[in-house]
Amino acid sequence: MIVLTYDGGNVVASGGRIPYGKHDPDSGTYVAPAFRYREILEDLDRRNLEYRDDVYQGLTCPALSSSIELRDYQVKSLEAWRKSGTRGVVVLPTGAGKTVIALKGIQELRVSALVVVPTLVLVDQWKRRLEDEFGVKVGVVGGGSRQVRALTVATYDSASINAAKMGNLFKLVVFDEVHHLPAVSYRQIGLMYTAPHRLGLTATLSKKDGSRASLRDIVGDVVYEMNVDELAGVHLSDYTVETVHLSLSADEQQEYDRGYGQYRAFLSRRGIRFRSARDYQRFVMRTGRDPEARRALLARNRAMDIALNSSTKIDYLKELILTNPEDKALVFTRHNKLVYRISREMLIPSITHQTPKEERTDILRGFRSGRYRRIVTSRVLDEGVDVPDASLAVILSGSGSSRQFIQRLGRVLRKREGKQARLVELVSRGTAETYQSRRRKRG
Amino acid sequence: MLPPELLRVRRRSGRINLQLARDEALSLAKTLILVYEEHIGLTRGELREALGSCEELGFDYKLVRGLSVVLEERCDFLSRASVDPVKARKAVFEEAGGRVVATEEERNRVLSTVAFRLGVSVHELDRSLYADLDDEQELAEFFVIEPTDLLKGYNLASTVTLLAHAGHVELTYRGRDEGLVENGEKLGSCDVSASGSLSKMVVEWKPTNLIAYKAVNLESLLDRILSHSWWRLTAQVWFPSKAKKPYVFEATHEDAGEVMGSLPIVERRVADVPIVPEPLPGIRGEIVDVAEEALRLGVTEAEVMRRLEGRGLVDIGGVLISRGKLDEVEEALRDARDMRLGALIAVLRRVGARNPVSLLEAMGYSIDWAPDRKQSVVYRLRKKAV
Repeated sequence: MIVLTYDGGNVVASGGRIPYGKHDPDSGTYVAPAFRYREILEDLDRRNLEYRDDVYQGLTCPALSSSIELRDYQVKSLEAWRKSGTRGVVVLPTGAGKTVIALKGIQELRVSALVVVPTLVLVDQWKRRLEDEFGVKVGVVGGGSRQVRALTVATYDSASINAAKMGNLFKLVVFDEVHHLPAVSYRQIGLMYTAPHRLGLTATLSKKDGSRASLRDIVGDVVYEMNVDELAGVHLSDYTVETVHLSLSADEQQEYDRGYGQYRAFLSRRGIRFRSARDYQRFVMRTGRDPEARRALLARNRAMDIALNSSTKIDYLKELILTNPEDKALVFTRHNKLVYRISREMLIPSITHQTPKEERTDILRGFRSGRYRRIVTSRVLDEGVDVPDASLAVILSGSGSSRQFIQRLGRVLRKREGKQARLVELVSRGTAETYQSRRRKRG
Repeated sequence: MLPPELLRVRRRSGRINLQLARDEALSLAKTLILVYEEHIGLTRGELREALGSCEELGFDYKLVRGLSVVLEERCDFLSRASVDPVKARKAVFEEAGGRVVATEEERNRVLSTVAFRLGVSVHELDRSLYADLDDEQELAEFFVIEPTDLLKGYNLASTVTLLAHAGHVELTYRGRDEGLVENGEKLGSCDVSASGSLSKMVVEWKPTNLIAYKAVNLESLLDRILSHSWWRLTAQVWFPSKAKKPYVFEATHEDAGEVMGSLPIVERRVADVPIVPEPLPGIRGEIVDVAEEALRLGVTEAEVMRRLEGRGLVDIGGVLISRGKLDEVEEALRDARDMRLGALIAVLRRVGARNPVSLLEAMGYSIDWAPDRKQSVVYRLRKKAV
């Protein structure tokens, strides 16, 4: 008889062969990566082989009742996930209710489940949500806590570090913000857990960068996908995106031209052309040993600093807020320096990675209750954090990433009666920022 | 010690050489010292900006930053807060509330109201708003040094940083030096032999992640050897720490002795103030894994060591332990019948070790890792000198 056990990220079979199993001559066993567990069982069943399965060592999930009622597209996404064998990725915009899909999935399967999230803030949010919904105690692994229960929330970091120990404790793994999973250090979560049921959730999953293909084996294919435009007006707020091109002040323009000109002159002198992101990476690496290249890079960075943080943007922001005083607004920047400048000048609460946890919670609570009408932030509110409803998002500066753009847009899309959401993007005219702006909206 | 990424090294044919700062860097050293002097009373953010400009003077940016690291240790930064910044922000933002603060007048109105309530001036309140940010701290004092001393201090810090990535160091010197041997013993297993007028000390330790912790002891060792007129140092260095093979590093009194040295000690005024022992949140027990504590408290390993000074704990290499507990652990291990890791972990947990594997390694045991961690066989490598 074949006996299956779990050992540090692998399924080990003694007494016979298993698919994907490599023979270990020392122990006489067959060893297969844990994520193949489900296929191994299916194969043994198909071949009518007698086996004993000692892999799963988790807890029994208590009965879960919930009052969740899904919207039509949420029902469809859950059906699609079920049809694909309870494996796969659901792509829905921020505010479209991905969490409730996962909650319904957990309730229906009624098996031990691990929810993996990218930040500690999200750990708190998911724990609260699961406990509120199901009225059961939820375990947490991460941020100094290591308590495993039938329903457990863990950070990607902790799930990865503890993969060898926790890999056989859950039958369902929900990957929130699943676009993080293909990263080298996190991919092993997908590989070392045996969970036969897997659900990935994200607002954005690029079709170009190969992340879909890399998720195929470890989570599944994209089983359901809707974009913002398909849901706007019905389930999400109607919205507009405005790009405002602003000129730099004369001094800023002069300074920008000098810095960027120095950079371009260097590239042209050395015949350097950027055809891909990798070419740029190589250039940055070169600056470590080539002083002239380094001077050129510093000149470029100075110029981009001017373009991203220009004073005309701040003047425009003041005007925009003055003319829309009732709008609850989120102001996004690329650098913390600008966050603090705006916070100081306009006395707007700020949130960055340096903001103490209690202060951040208080600011978000104040924003929800209306005590504050505006928050200025850099990148920490881009994804995941449950940001209260806002109707105006102002992007003062950002990266060229379309994922960041979509997530920032998602922050103002939660549906409210009569709400018309606005995203205003400020771009310095005649600078390299216009290219970044085009790139992030290309999707 | 410098951040490892700032080390300037050249590797060739299995050897690694440090690029030390020599006379040609004197003008840079002078400039940097001047920049620090001129920024007394200004913020760390302003100082950083000025230092950033110095990177464009044509010198290797790693040298500029490395020298700045050495100078930073001679600075005292102070917070400019007159009121708790978090409270100041909350009060100001709540006062501003739903209002749009778009003009200087409106801003002053809000600040004046809050300043009056908190009993501080508008200027003090304004300065307190983000005074908890690193960049907002004020350079209160800079303890000036000579440019030549700065270069010597930088070279010493570079050598310490590189040696912190070593696992095997051989030091040959003239005469006998018990102090040097004491320094060596703090680093790992230490064998000393003598031949004629020469002594040879071989120090070995397992390459470790406790780089900063090793650096403290290495600095004392180098400081001591620099007082000798003739010496030679050879080390096997894994640099960067993920290097697949060790490189050979050599230094002698001829090539390094003249350009390397400790910086004059900073006589900080606060030293006159009686030092009140800091509360030690969480550092409890008679067995302390330095790296783990540092991680938990968010401080450096050196800081953990400093905080535990005077507690009578013995350093056995990354783990501090009381004499009594050490005897207890040794007895427990001596009596252990099952030398598999699972059984030993249970034994060590019973005597109060929170991280038994670190403790075993620090005590000179080695673990032959098996696929099933608990079945790994533990054996004694050497008698650890405590």
